Amino acid sequence: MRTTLFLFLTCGLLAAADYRPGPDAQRRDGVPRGKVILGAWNDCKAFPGTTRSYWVYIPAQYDPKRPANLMVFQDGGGFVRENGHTRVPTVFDNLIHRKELPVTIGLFVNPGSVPGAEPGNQPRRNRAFEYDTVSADNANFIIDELWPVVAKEHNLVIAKDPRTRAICGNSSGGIAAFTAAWHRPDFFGGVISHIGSFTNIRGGYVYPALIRKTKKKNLRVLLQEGRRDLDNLHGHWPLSNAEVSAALKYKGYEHKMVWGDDGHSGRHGGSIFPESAKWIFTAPDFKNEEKAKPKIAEYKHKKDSERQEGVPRGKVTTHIFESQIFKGTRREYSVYVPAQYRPEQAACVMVFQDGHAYLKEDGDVRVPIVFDNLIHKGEMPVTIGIFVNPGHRGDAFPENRWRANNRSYEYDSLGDEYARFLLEELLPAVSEKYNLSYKAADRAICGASSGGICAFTAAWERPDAFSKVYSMIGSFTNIRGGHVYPSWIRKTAKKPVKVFLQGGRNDLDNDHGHWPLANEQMAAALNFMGWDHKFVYGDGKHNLQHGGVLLPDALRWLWAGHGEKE
Amino acid sequence: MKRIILTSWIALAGMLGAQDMPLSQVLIPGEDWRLASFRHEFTDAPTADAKGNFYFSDLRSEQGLYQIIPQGKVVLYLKGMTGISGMKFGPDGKIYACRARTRELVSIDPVANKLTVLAKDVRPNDLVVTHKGYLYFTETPKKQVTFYNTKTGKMKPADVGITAPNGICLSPDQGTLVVSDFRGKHCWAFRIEPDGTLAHKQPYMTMRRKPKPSQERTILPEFQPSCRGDGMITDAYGRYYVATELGVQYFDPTGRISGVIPGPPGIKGITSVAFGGLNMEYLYITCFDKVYRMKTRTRGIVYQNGPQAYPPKKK
Repeated sequence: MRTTLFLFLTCGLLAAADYRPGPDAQRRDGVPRGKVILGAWNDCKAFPGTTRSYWVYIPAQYDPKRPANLMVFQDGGGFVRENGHTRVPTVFDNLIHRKELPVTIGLFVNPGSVPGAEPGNQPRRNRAFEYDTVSADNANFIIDELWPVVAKEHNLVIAKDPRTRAICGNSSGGIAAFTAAWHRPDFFGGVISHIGSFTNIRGGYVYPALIRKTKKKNLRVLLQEGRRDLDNLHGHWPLSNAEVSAALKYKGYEHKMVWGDDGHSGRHGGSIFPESAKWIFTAPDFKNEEKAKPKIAEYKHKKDSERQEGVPRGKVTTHIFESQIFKGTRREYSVYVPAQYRPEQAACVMVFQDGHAYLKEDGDVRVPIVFDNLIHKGEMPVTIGIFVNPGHRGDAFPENRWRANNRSYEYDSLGDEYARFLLEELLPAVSEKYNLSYKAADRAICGASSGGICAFTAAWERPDAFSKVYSMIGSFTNIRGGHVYPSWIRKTAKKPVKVFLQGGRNDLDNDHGHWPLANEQMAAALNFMGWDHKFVYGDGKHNLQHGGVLLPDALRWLWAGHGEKE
Repeated sequence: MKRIILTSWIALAGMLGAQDMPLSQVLIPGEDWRLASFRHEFTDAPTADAKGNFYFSDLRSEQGLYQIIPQGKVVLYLKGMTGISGMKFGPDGKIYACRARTRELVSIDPVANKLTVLAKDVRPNDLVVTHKGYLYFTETPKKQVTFYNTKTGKMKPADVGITAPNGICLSPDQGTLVVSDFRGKHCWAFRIEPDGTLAHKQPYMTMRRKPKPSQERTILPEFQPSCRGDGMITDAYGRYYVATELGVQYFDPTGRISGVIPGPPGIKGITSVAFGGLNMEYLYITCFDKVYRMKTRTRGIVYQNGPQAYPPKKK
């Protein structure tokens, strides 16, 4: 097993780009060497019971009368090593000597662990707790507990401006560096994160959402990430770094994103570190990127979305519903009953959120036409369509039906409230007139934008009631927490639900999130857990054009194999 | 050569951090929850003996303790041993049990079917016993974990302050004790000192909780303050399992949540979780009136067999 793992890793390394420490990481004659002093921190107040090593690097040029810069390294042992991935003391010696870097003190801190009390007992490893938790604890430990003692012991004085202090780390150390600066921007002004774990190891997936909805902080952030980085139970590293980068750009942070071809290794970050160190204290080349004009694709309907001669037409009726679960709301809903429906045979069901948008014969989605055609051809079962609008409080419905005032609460909220509304209120009401199947295998649910995440949420909460989801341009973003799904999917037993996702590369990028990346995250998570899913990623914007054109394909795929013995 | 490979592996493993423990290491495709026992009122106190026989209690029944033998048959095990909310076999072969209703900590000699009261006027909920005979039980209403030395009969508070301490389990090497909080979001880790004291308390594991939607928009969504973290158990790889209202959640030995396994549809809730079966490969859950089990890829730990190194060596 170990040999296999080793070979696997070796092959991975050989195949990846060849990143190695550059000339600035080599010892040079005549360059004065700073001191590296090892210390142990065994009476930790922030993390009781832990022990750890730390190292302090003091440049030869350091003069206590002239306050220096400071750079802190998480997993410090790896960064301080003379022949390690980054070789910080050598790099600092060279750059400071050439005056390309201000005189900078290095503090290299290892994560703690609680040793076993008796022989044979494993230590309690504290790295994930300290690094992956989204809180100020680790920053406070470094700033308020460790640094003052180290500074006093070695007579170290640092400059007051947070922009003269940076924090750096790899992987969980990378997110730890960001977390430290995010919670203590009064101390740290710069972050260097290599292959940062902005994933769900312990909730770190929240940063893109937090960054977008928090007042911009005075931070400069450099992210390095590799296209072959991890895709595991905790998350998808390349997509998560792309999301953090997009959020930083959206808020106008001084930010640099460096992409490479490596996997989960410190070598690429190490190889560019001399440049990164210089950049983090000055950001000389920084300018806000202009957004390139997107190429928007046009999608055209095909035959299945046009009226065909000789195809029997179903009937659509419209009703009003007053909900008890969403108290005080009223809504319209329409019911499409196919011509082939027979009361003695329970019909399949498909529920469409924002129902008004799906009914128009010349609209983007044209569900009644598509249903008529596909049911006639036997490409989907006899299905009753329920087109439900979001709830509204007040006497008259708004002219623009998308603006019903309870829509966001019903659609964007996590939890089972909307599924309960469908299963305990609306479907029973429709069942009074029509014979609807109650089996999950016979029930599908669909929506676009917030309606898309709403459809997914209903099936997520009640996979015993809905087994098929079609989401168009789904808002798996932080309107009300929907960005959590990729993280939850990766750590939840697979649900028996088929999911068809449609996304667009030119979809929204706003306070709530980045729709294209959010949908990519969903698809990657479903893929990791082996869900039966399909992701069609087009060049559309935030509208129903592409999703509407895809409807016949999506329905064929969702209903394929229906009625066969499971 | 072998040494070089081994050394490189260790170096790489160190770089990669702790070992990941995804659901694919626990679940078997196609396996699901199967009903193991039903027509009960309030099942709890699941545990297994060293042979993998599985036992549970019906708290509200007047019958006693039940046993599920590895073939899956349910039989009445000990008549009259009623009102038990948590139990484990000790290293001495006795069953140690919490009798919540009568507020007693008891031991049961299963051969003689004889019950001995160890402590009265306590509020025991669930317990665990180490190979040294150190017994720790949760007293939920008192916010207390209590230490009872089965060898000396001495009892003292070991920790006070968890909102509602409930489930309790040990690491495979029996050096770490973990307690779930029924009204909070954490499972708390302690180091067991040689004299039985609990040290270095830490909110080491954070449980997933249900969302708490509100009309008001917040920067990040709100979640419920707790997920009703209840009974706990450990497997041979050092994973910690806790019964919650979202299903069985498990954590790797470094405290990272690694999987949530929802219970079967339609259950009222999950009160506790334990392993059983000839190879300890079945994960059992007690769900009020029913008990379910699921075959897994992993195997549970038998605490009464003493401390075990983990992860186990591959054969």
